[in-house]
Amino acid sequence: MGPHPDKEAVSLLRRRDPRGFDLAYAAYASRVRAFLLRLSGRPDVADDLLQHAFLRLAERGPELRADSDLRSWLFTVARNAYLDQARAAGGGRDDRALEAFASPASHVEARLLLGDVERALSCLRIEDRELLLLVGVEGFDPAQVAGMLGIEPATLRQRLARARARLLATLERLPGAAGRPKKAMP
Amino acid sequence: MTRPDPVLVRLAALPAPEPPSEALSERLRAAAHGRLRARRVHPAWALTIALSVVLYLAWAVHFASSLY
Repeated sequence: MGPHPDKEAVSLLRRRDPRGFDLAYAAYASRVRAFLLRLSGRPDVADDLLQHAFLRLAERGPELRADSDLRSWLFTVARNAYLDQARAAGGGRDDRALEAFASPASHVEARLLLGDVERALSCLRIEDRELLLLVGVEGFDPAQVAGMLGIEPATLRQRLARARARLLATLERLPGAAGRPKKAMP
Repeated sequence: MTRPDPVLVRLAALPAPEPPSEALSERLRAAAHGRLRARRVHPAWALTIALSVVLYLAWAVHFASSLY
């Protein structure tokens, strides 16, 4: 069995070998794009930020530590780029403008295509949405996510519990949810 | 044994959206490969340039002082 694909990709990137980039792209491009698409609800924004994250990898790859966690690194860069862009779109002052940019629910087309859970996710605030996406959808360990967000693991657990509760409350409130049979979720 | 959180289970079951388009991937690969291949100037070259500047300045000072 060969080395872990992340280790191999990092090792190649540290030697400026383009095969390292190809390995990383094959392993994570779809997941990072999916994360960005669910965060923004906009394919054009997801594609722009995907480019940003992977071009940053090409620039910084040779400086990565040998034991770097490539997946966390890419998701952190993608998330930060998204937040920067969302803040810039809101002029960095008005939280409502930030939410308007950041809420995929504001896009009619996206609304029509989404299933219940995705629709409920898209109605949440960015802080809740990113946590649920990283832990629930992408399967990151909560301790890893705490590191990525620069917060204490205990704080993350509290925020995750609140985000989870708000997701459930939003699911209940979705149009059409009342007439539907309830799914067995606490 | 702890039961997995049903909310997280439901989130994990969300279908994967479409991957990046082939055209975007190709463009991105080409740009990234270009950046990886563009090597920085070797430190030896930077040192050589700095040394020649110092030598030139020393020679210029010596030359100017020999005029008076």
